Amino acid sequence: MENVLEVRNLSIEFYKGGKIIQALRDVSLTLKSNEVLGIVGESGCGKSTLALSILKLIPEREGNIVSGEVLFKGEDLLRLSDEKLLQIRGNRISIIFQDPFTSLNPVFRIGNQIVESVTLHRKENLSTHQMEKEIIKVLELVKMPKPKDTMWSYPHQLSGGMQQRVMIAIALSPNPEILIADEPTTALDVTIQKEILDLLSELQKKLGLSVVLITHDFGIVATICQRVLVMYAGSIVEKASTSEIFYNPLHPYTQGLLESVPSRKEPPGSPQGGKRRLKAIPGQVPDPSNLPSGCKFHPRCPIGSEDCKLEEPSLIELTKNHWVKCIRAG
Amino acid sequence: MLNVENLKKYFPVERGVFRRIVDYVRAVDGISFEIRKGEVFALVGESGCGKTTTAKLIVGLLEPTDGGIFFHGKDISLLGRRELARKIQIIFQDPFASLNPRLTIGTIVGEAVKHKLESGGEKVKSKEIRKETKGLLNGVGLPVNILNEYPHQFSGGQRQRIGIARALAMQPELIVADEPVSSLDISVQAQILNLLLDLRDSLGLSYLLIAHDLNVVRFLSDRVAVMYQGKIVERGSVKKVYQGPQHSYTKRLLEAIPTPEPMPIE
Amino acid sequence: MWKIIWRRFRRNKLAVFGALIILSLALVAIIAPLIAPFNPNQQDILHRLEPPSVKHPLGTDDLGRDLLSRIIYGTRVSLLVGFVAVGIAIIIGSLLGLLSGYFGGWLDALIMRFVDIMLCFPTFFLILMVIAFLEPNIWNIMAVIGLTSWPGLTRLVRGECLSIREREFVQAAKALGLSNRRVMFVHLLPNIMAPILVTATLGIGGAILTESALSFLGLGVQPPTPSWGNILTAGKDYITMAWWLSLYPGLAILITVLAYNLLGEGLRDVLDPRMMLE
Repeated sequence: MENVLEVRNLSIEFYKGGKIIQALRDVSLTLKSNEVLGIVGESGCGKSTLALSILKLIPEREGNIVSGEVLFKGEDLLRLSDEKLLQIRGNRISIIFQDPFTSLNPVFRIGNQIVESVTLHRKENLSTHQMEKEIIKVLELVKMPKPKDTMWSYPHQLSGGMQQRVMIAIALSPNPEILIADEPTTALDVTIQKEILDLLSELQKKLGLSVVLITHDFGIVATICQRVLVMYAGSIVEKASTSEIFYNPLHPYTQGLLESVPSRKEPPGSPQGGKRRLKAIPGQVPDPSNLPSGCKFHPRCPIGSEDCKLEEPSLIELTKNHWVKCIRAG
Repeated sequence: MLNVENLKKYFPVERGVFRRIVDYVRAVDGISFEIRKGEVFALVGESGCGKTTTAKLIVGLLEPTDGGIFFHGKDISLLGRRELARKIQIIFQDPFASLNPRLTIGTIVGEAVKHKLESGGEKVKSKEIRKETKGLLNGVGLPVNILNEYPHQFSGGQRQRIGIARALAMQPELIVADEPVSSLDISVQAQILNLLLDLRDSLGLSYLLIAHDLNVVRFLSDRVAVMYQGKIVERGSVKKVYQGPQHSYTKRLLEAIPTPEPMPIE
Repeated sequence: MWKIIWRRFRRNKLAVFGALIILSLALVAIIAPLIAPFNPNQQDILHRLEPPSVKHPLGTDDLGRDLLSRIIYGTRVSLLVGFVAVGIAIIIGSLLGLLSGYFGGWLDALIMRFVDIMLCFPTFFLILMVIAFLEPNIWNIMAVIGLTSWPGLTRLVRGECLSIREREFVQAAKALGLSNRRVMFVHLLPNIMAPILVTATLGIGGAILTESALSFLGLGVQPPTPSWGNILTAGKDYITMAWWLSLYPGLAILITVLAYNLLGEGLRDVLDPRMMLE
């Protein structure tokens, strides 16, 4: 399985109110074909920035690409001309976001918005009849109930789940190689979430897509991702297969996160009298414009030592295909 | 302790120039439940099921269309605002919107303290107010020297703690927690959940927990009621409902939770 | 928190420009007796309608009075009318808007119908009619302008109230059992100040224009008290011979209103909506 996408040493800075925020610090990752890669992290860790950066969607006056490359089939997306980049965005690499309602234009019917994507990238001149057929085909692909009715509806007439299906339809209609999904189900109810995740999983297998799934929910990661990256303060702190992350987490932050989630293993019901509490990570995520020295997690780390303050560790392969950024792990 | 009987809240839908009432949105459609002292009772459901409306009804922010809410046997609609505020309080989901951005922390929590202390009608010294405010902040795990700071200087988890301190200022017996951790990062969620449990143990509080995250509900609550379209479709102890759900909707909800337990490969 | 506003304000050049002009005008109004070279009412028929010279930098009017001094004193009238009239409008408008937006129901309906009725009248003609009945003096003008310009503000405040009323911190204050008065004035009002301030600042320009127009028509400030408007009245009869009598008061009005508008627009950029983010 070759790498369909490779990010090398990507570093991105933002400027806000006179301060420099290091949103991404030397991030590298690979995405193989036909795989679902999960990126997990809390707010401020840089996961959304990473998603946007892959498609160079961060406006130049807001953020600056300090260094790094994003290789898609050998070409560095960050250094492509705008013309060529437009052929890739939404066409070979698609992206869907968290809130489908704000991603859709409220004054256009659904059919029109899907057609935009179809005609833009296919470069064929389709008759109205053919276009309608394409739209219905793509809506059936995402299992939309009553595709004909949906085609003529406006976004506000659809439920959240249906809107997200439309987004997926728009994203997948040009048959891309990669789909980036930034928190696609966070705004949805839990039963709808399951439907959307099942749909994504099915489509991925059917179309041979590679998916980058960004989320903060470990449950989602466990359900459909094969490999996982854990991010903290702008860099990747652990990289491994899903089962390795869950059954053998090596970085103290990953371990802490997993323990913060109330799990099924414990008996149900409210813990009485201080005995059973969640093992919470103390403190909070550091201010991105004022990161601590050395390892960024050390102020909150249960096993931190003096050495941790000195230098930021590098990502090391501790066991086979399991990378950790910690000098005290293992 | 808290008794809800056949509670209903209908919102009228107005149409036309003369705003005739054509229909009603049956947000809460005849629910009954009770919360015992010292327990954590959860109301779960998806968006639109009526749980937030129920929360507002119980705290007195909305008036019921029908039915009654009784606290220790007394109908709460007969209680004065301050009286009710001293029995039932609320903490909100969005830590960014639940604090007035123009007021200092000292004022936000202090005005609650002042309101409580002045129930007899006498004036209270600001020194006393400050002292009690600091005590409350300390009790929720915040440093005490933040009285002159503004909400925007704090993180989501810290703001949520401030909101909890404010609710505790009135020394209520029941706290309605409307999605108290949904907007927080996972690591902070754990801290706040622990805090809520600690406060329950040390202050003898009871909670009405409104949530959609079934794992959080399972961890925090003793009994749970599942709401769907304004009605309660199933209720019982957390153990019973989670391990042996009866209603089809409950089953669907439970099946939909993504479990953090991947299938081991190879 | 105010520091952030100040910093942003400083960076907005137009707003700063407007503010500086207004501050200078206010200064001029206050120290008028000290800087006016002549008594504004001192007549000197021998030297009437003289063009600008070293002695009279802006010339003299039809009664030989120094134009510069008259314009300086006229500043007092304009600024006073601006502030007081708008002040009245803000107090009435905000109060009614708050009551309307907070309580809703029949009170809201009542107030809004009243506002609708008020808005049906063309304000200027309404003012003309009222002044025609009353004596035209500066206090009446201020009162009338103020009493006719509050309806727009009421609508604005009510709208803001409706949107902020449902925010969680207002709900929390109500849940604490705080009195309605406290919730309205401590929680709602400070969060609505921004659009009120902007509207008020822009409104001052309008009030000044209205006063000038009234004085021009002879229904405003009466001579001999100088007002930019009534100087223009005299000027219109001598436009071909003494252009300075029309130009300079006109310029004064222009610059002042412009300054208020710049400040108002600048405030709008500075205060909303980024305020909400922080």
